Amino acid sequence: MSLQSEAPHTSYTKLFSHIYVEETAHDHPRTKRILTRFPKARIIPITSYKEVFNRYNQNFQFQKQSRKLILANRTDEFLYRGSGFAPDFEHKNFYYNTLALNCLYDCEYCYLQGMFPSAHLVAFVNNEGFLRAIEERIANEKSLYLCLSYDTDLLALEDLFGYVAEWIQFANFHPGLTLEVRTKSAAVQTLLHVPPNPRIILAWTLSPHSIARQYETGTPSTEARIKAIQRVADHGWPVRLCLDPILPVTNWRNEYKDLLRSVASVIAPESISEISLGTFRISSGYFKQMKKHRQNSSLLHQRYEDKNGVVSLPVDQEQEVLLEIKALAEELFPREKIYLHHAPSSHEAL
Amino acid sequence: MNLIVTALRPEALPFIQRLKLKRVLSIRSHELYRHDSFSLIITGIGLTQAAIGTTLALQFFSNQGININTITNVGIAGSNGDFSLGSIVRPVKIQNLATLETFYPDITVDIKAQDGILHSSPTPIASPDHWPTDTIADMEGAAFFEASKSFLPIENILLLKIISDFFKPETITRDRIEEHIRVHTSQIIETILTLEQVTQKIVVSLLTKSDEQLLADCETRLSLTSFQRTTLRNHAKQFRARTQAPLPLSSLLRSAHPETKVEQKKILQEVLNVLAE
Repeated sequence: MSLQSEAPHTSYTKLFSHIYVEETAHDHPRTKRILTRFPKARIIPITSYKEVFNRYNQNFQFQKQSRKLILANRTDEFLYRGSGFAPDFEHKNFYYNTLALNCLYDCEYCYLQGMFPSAHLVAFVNNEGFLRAIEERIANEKSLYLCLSYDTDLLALEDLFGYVAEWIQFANFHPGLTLEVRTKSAAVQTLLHVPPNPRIILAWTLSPHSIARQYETGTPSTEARIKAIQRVADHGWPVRLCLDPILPVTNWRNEYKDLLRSVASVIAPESISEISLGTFRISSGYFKQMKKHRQNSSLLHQRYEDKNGVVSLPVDQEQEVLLEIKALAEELFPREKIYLHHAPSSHEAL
Repeated sequence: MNLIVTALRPEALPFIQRLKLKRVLSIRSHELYRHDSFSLIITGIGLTQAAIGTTLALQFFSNQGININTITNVGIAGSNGDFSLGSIVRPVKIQNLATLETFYPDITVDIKAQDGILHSSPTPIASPDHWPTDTIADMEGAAFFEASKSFLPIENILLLKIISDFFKPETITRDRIEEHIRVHTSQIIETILTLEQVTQKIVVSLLTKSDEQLLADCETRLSLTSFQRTTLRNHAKQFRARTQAPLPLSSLLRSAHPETKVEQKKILQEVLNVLAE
């Protein structure tokens, strides 16, 4: 028999076929609850999530084909100051936390693939530690703006982890806390079963159909996301729309015009708290890693500028894109609700 | 090239015969074999021997400019009865019992083997009093993995252990070892080829083979420095990303014969300009 006749069939292990569990997280009720959802998964005991997550020489894109779940206990760093790349919407005391690392989706422009050494999904099961940290910080700072879902998409994982419901309940009892839950998910059942809270902002990242289809693998379609937004808006939740990153693909003006019109046709402007517009911007270190992992990405190998450690569209193009989309948005939504976010290097130009 | 690492000759023999491997005579300290897309090294028994043999083979091929796509440790292991005799086990966690270091191999690719935890011991383990569930024992795996991950991405490293005994090392004979391995030879080769195919598929460049040839031609003709090569490749990828068209460099390169550094720089700038258009 020749080697050719032993031709392999390509196959990956199933999503979460193996679950790494930190010894200290093993008996946590959330761990037990999550494990019951995967009765066939192989449980691999570990001492620290970093043993698996931070292994040297991993291939993020390869692991995306078959992600594993890592259940861990966060022991420190329950809270981070917001970074300059992320919009603060004029809130002072801007923080974010990381209840989970990585996401179920596979967006070609996502900074996580440049930031993390592994594509496996880490969930910190001890939410009580995060809640306690916020409670202490609110006691000191009186008010606090917290982004819950930066290095992950918590709403997409809500069915599995249940963090969003717990944080909604927590925010209801802490008037100094404003929360942002950013998502591309269309799974909004949790939000429809509780009364809306004006201090909890549900932020949807939206892209035109063609971009969602080509660059946002695994995400709900644009239509499904708009429908989800409509449902929560009708229920009374404040909604933030994030067209970020805006990608100047072929025919981008019409693509984004159609998107904004689709949204405006079904969602009342008063239901929308902000519209956030931003172009692709990322630290050059992360960008280098992203290009390494996605050598066939036409999106990442476009011409970008690297200024002061920030990779973004050339300034002229960035201005053109942002200002044109802003003008389109202003035709449909109140001007005061529209925020622009751009690479730090081009602040002056705009 | 796919490299197989075994500790013993009886573990190696079925692969040597099946893959028609020939001894590499320039290596005298170890038995190193190769033919076509496979190679094999026999390291000898124990953690130190495994680390030395694995490193030697990887360094040998690296020096020859031969790319190793996958590396697989195939060998026998003892079990307490959680796995049946002759069954094939893929370690999902490896502990070096000498150093207590723990390693986690990649488990992205689905293969026909049971999952187990591997303890690599510096000495043979016979009839242990307490032995953890689903755990097998060998004398090389941890050292093999540690040496391999210095050279290769972890997804290209595989361990396949065949249960040879229930912690009764005295029952193992050369013939039985060879027999155990021979039963699984086809399956192991298939698994290695699967791993190779899957890991190669993930490294897809925007540049085609003919683009690569053109760039190589350009690099040679212009005697580019490392920095210039990187710049050229970035421009080429950006051109491909923008246009999806072949690199338009053939005619430009045909007439390029720089004799001075100034000429070289001028031609390179022309090339970059064409790619930036």
